[in-house]
Amino acid sequence: MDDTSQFDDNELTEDLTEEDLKILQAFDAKEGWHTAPPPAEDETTSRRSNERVPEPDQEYIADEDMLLLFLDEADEDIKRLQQGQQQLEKEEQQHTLQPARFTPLQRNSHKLRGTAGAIGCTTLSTAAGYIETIAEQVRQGFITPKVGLTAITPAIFALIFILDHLSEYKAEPTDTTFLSELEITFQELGINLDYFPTESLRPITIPKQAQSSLRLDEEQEQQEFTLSTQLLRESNPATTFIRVDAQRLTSLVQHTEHLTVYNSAITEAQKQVDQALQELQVSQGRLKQYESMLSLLPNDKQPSPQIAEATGSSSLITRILHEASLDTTRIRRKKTPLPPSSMNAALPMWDELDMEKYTERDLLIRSLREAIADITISTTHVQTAYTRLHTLQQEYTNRLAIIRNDTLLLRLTPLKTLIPHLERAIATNTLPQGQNIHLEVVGDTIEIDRDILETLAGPLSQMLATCIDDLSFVQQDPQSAETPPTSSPQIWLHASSIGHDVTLEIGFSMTIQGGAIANIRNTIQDLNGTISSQRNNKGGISFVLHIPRSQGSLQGFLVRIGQQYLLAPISQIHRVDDMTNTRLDMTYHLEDLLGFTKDEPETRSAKTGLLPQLQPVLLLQRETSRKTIGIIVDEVIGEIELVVKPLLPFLQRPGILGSAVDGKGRILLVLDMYGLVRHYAYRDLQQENAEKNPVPSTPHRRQATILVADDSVFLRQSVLQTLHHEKYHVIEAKDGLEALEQLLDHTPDVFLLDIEMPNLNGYDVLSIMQLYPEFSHIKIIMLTSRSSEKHIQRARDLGAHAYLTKPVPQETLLGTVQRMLAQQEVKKTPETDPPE
Amino acid sequence: MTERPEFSAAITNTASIAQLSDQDFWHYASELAKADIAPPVPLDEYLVCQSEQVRSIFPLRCLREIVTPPQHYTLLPDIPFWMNGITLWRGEVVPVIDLAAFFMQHQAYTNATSLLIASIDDNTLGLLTTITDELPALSLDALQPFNEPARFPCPEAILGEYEGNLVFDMPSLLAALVHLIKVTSDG
Repeated sequence: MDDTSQFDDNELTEDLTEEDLKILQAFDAKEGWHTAPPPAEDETTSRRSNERVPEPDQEYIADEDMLLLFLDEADEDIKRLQQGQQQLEKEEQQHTLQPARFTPLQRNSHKLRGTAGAIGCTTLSTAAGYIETIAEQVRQGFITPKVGLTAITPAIFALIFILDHLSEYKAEPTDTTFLSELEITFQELGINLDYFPTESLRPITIPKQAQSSLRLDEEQEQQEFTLSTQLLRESNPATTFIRVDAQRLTSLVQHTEHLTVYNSAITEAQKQVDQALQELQVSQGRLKQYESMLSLLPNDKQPSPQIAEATGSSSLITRILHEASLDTTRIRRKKTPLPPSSMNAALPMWDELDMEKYTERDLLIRSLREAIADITISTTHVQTAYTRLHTLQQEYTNRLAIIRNDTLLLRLTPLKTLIPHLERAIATNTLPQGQNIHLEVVGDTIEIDRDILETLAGPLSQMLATCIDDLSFVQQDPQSAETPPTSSPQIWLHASSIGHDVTLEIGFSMTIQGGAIANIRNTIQDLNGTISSQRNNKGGISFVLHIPRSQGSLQGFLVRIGQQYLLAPISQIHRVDDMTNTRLDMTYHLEDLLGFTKDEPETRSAKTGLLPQLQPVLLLQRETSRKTIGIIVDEVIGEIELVVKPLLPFLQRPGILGSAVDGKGRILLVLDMYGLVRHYAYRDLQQENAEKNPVPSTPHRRQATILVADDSVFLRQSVLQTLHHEKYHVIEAKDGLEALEQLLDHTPDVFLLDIEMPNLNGYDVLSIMQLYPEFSHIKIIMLTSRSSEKHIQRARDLGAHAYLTKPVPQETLLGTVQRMLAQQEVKKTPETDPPE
Repeated sequence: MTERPEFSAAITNTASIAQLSDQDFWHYASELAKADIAPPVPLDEYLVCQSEQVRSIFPLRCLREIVTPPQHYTLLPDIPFWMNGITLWRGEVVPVIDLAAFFMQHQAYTNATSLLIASIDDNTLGLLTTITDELPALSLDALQPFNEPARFPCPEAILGEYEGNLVFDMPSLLAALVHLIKVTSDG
C-alpha cells in the first residue's frame, strides 16, 4: 500500500463504525489478498456466455477471515428474516397481515442471496432466493400472505441449518436434499418458483382502504377549513363539489360584475371607432371623386389670376369675406372645424364674391383641399376613438387578470387536507407494534392548488409507505441507527412557501428503505417541480420537494438570446446578476447550452454590445448543487407569467419543459435549466471546460477515484480490496444517502452502484444525480444481483453507463472500470454508451 | 353535401312540405337537423410544388391549410438542418420543414411562398415550398416508377413520377419527417 492510499484509508476510518473497523483490520491483516469472488452457480443470475467463468474458489471460501466476515453478515441477515417472520406470524394471528409487510423479507433475502452467491455459497443463495421469490409473489398478489408465510418458515430453517453447517465445517452441506424437500413443500402449497417476479422493483402498493381516499375528501376536516377551499364528496360519486371560501367567492362575483360595466363602455367605444372609420371612408371617397374630376379637366397649368393675386396681397374686404367664409364653413361643418392653421393653408385668400373669376379647376382644388382637411379630422377622430377603445380594453384585460387570480385563489386548498392521507399511509402500512411514529407537521396552513394536492396525495402516500415499510428491520440495524435506541422514530412534514413556489421537506429521523423517489419522481416532474435529498440534523434522511403553488401557469424570466425569446422558471433562478459581482464555479452561455450558435466570446460581445463581464447572468438555485452555476443570456427582459403546454413528443428535448405563447404571439421555449446544463453542457462545452479545468479524469496522469456503494459489508470490502490492489483511490458508501454525500465531497471518476440499498436505492441515487451538473462526467457502473432486461434498461434510462451482475469476476470488474476511464478520456457521451 | 335521411311513410307520401301538419313538419325538420353530414366529396386535386430543383405533387386532400410562411421561427435544440424551427398555427406548435433542404439534403436558400399544413396521427407539420400549379386529377396508373430513390432521404414516400414531378404519399412522408426529427434529438 502506497502512502497516498494509506493516508486515504486513515481518513476514511473516521467515519466508519466499530464493526467496519474490525472488518478493515481483518483485511489489513491479510497481505496480498486480491482474489476476486468466484461466481455462484445460481441460475437466476445472468452471465455472458463468452465470459470466462472461474470455478468456485475453495481456497477463497476457506479463507478464514473472509468466511468469518461473511458468516457474521449472513447471521445478521438471517436473524432479521427470523424477526420479520415472527412479526408476520403475530399479524397473521391478529388477522392484520398485509402483502406489503413481506417487503422486508424480500429485501433481506435478496441481500443474502447476493452475498452468498458472491462468496460461492450456492445452497445458501438458493434458499435465500426461495424466500425472495415467495415474498415477491405475495406482494404481487400471486399467493396469499398466509400461504407465503407458511412457505417461508421452513425456508428460514433451511438457512439456519446451512449457516450452522458453514460455521462448523467451513463449507456448505453436500447433501442438499432438504432443498428438494422445500421445493416439494412449495409445490404442495401451490407456489410456482419458476415464476420469478423479484426482478421487478415496483412501488409498494397502498392498501385498498387507503387508496379509496386518495382524493382530498374533506368530511373529516370540514369544521377546520371554513375559510378555505376543499372538496366535498356527494353521495353521487360522479359529481364532485368544491367548497370555497365565501369571501373569495364574493370578491370574484364583484370583480366579474365590474366587467359588465366595461362591456358596455367597450361596445360604445367600438361604435365610435366604427363611426370615425365610416367618416374617414366618406372623406376618402370624396377625395377620390375630386381627384378623378380634376384629372378629367383640360390641362390648365396656370392657376386663376385671382388666386395668384390673392396669394400675395390682402385687404380689409378680403379679410372680412374670408372671415365670413370661415363662419360659413363652421356652420356647415359644426362637428369638424378646421384648425386655423390648416384652414389658412387650405383657403389662403378665397373670396366667394369673386366666384365668377374662379375657374372650375380652382373650385375643384378648393374642394380637394377641404376633402383633405376632412380626412385629417376624420383620422384624428379615428385615433381618438381607437385610443379610448384601447384604454378600455387594457383595463378590461387587467380586470380579467384579477378575476383569474380570484379563480386561482378559489382553487387553493390548505396543505392540512393532505395530512390525514399521509397519516393513514404510515399507520396502515408500517407502524410496527409497540412503536409510536409521530408525524410532525409544520406549515400545514400553506395553500396549494387543489389539483396539485390531489396529484401529490397518492405518490406521496406511497413514498411514505415505501420509506418505512421495513422500519422494524432497519431500526435494529446496529450500523445504521444513528439515533439513540430509546428515541422513537420521527417523521415530519415541514412546508414553506416563497412567492409562487412551495417547499415540502419530508424528513425521517431513522434509516429508511430505499426506492422512495421512484414513487414520486414522475409526478414531481409533471408538476414542473424538483425533488432532492439530504441528511437532516437527526441523522436521518430528508426529501425536499419544490412544487409550484398553482398549476398551468409558470412564472419566469423572459430572456433573449439573439432573436430568440425564452422563459426561465423563477423557481430555478437564485438571482440575476452580472459576472462582475459573483464568483461562478461553472458558467455557460444559454445559446451554447441550446446549441443555437457557435460564436466565439468576442463575436458574442460584439453582437450584444456589452462587455462579456456585463452580460446578465442567471444564477441557479444552490439547493441541489453545491456549485454556483451561472447561465449567461443577452438580455433579461422581465418577469412574466404564462401558461405552459408540453411539446409534441417528437419535439420534446432534454432541458425543455414545454412551450408558452406570449402576448405577441411568439412561442417561448420554457427551460429546465438543470436539464439543459446536464444534457448539453458536456456535449458542447467539454472541450472548453477541459482547457479551463484540467481536472476531469486522466487516468494515465493521476490516480482515478472510484466510489463503491453497497449495503453489504462483505461485497463492499471485496470490491474495495480488488480496486485497491490496482492502485485506484477507492471510497465507499453503505447506502444511497452516504453515496450522494461522497459524490459531493469527492466527485469520483467511476461510481460502482448497487440497486438495493437503504435510504436511497440505486435508482434513487441515479435520479438525484441528474440534478447535479457536476456529476455529468462520472461513469456509473451498476453492480447488482438484479439481472433482468428491464432493470438494465431502467438503469440505462437513468444514466448508468454499464451494468454488471453479481457475482462478477474480478477481470470483468477491472476491465469495465478501465474501459469507463478510457471512455472518459475520449469524452464519449453517456447516452450513447450501451450497457454491459 | 347533406344526404337526406329516410323519413317515415307519412312524410315521404306527402306531395309537398306545405301540406305537412305542424307536428310532421317539426318532425321532418328535426330529422333533417339530426341527419349525418355526409363527408365532403373527396377532392382529387393536386398541388404542384417547386422546392429548389425538385418538383413535387401533393394531394390537396391531405392538407389542412395553406398559409403564408411566418417571418420568424422559434428554434428548438437538436433539430435537423432542414427544419427551420417551430411556429404557431391555430394555437398549435408546428414544426416547419424546408422541403427544398430536405429533398436536396443540404442547406437551401429558397424563397418559399407557401406553408402547407398537414397532419399525421396527432402530429401537425408545416411544409415550406412554392406552389406552381394545380392538377385537377391524377391517375395512379399514369405514374412512372421513380428510378433514383437513392437521391432522396425517404424514397419509400415516393409513389412515382408524373411528367417530371415526384408524387408523394403524404402519410409516409410525414411519418418519415416525424421520425427523423425525433431521432435527431435522440442522437
